[in-house]
Amino acid sequence: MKRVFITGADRGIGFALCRCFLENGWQVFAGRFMKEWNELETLKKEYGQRLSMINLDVGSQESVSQAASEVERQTDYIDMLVNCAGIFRNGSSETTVNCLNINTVGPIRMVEAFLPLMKQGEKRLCFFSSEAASITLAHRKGDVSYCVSKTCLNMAVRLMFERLKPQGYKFRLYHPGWVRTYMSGQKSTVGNFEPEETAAVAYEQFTSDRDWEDVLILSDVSNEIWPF
Amino acid sequence: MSRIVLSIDNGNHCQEEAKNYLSSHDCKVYTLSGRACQTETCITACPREYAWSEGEDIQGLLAEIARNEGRIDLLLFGIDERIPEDSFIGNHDCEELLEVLGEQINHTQDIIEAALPLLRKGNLKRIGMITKKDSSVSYCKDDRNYGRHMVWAGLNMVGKLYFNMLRPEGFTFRWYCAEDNAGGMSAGEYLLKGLCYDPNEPYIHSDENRFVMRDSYLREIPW
Repeated sequence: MKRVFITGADRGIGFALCRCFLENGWQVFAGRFMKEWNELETLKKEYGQRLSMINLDVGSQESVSQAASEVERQTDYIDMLVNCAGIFRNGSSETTVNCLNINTVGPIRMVEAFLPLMKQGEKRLCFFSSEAASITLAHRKGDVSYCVSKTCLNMAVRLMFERLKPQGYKFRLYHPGWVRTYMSGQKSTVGNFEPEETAAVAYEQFTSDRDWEDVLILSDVSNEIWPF
Repeated sequence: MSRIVLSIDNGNHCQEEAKNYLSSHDCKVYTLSGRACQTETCITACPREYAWSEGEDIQGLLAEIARNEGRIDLLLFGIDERIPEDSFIGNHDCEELLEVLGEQINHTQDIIEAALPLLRKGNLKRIGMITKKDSSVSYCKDDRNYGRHMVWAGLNMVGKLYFNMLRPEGFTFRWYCAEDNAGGMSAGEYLLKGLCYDPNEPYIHSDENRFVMRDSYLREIPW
């Protein structure tokens, strides 16, 4: 059975991805940030041992290290790490630091903590980026905190790619589209996609092979490519 | 008429050369830097260590420029090559990374915001950045120095967002990739050059309406 760790699994796209992987027979380790949110509990009742809920705050080095230790107690390795946790905040120096902490440095913490668990298996590293990270096509006149955090993430993934690709790692950098998510705190009532729709596309992209794994691309929910 | 330049120095060698060029081409260069300036027209203010300066430093310098000149034509940044080197994936102090990212991005944005009133009164209304090809997510082939690369890429996005905000007001932007021992056009000359612009033509027909990064041979580097 293949094994995946998904961050930001409490709700929204992360939760939909958990269900998607479970439906396809994977063992899922779900990074759980909000103990008071019980959607994962209902999934646990449905899938039992194949779902492990792991307490995780990607913004805390201590929490990430503890999560990796907990997963190590339960399994020898994972095949895939999906970095889905993210926030959308804007307006001050503090929000920029918060976005950078969760959206940019969070995935770096996760990869560094989980690499020792990925030396066997499929060696797949997946990241949720955004169209907002594309300097070429950026149209916004604000949202500096969020846009910069995702651009910096893309650069971090580039550096990881150059280092880990020769070691057999495969990378997925995904723009989920405009999704009705909880990124701003409450579930958005506007957007083009439900979390389940974009999660289904993400699952296909994350689990399928490409003939050109030596190219790092930002791909979207329509399977189209975005420039950096 | 002299161009009024405010240069935010970051220990970038190419920026020093650019300032010298600007000073010898009818520009008066104010510098926010801890290093002594070489040219007569430079005014060095607010010595600064690696830790970013407090807000009042830039405010004091801006007040001085406002008194002396009443405007800024070019606000010039250079990427900070003093950001500590770091290693490849698996070996980071992530809290240190976060601190560097937050400081550099916020500081640059704070300076742009503070300088905007004087830039709006300027003739060029120009913001420039001396960066490197390795700031490009597409182009970079490095596998380490996360702090530097992420800051550099992040500042490119900051530039693009301000381009989107300010271009309708007539602001112009120059992003220049410096290389050691390169020929071609110097940063200083590119910073002052006009790019084709005709308000009567379709928007896409004016190079000034594009936010691009170019090297000394004016080759566009993908973001």
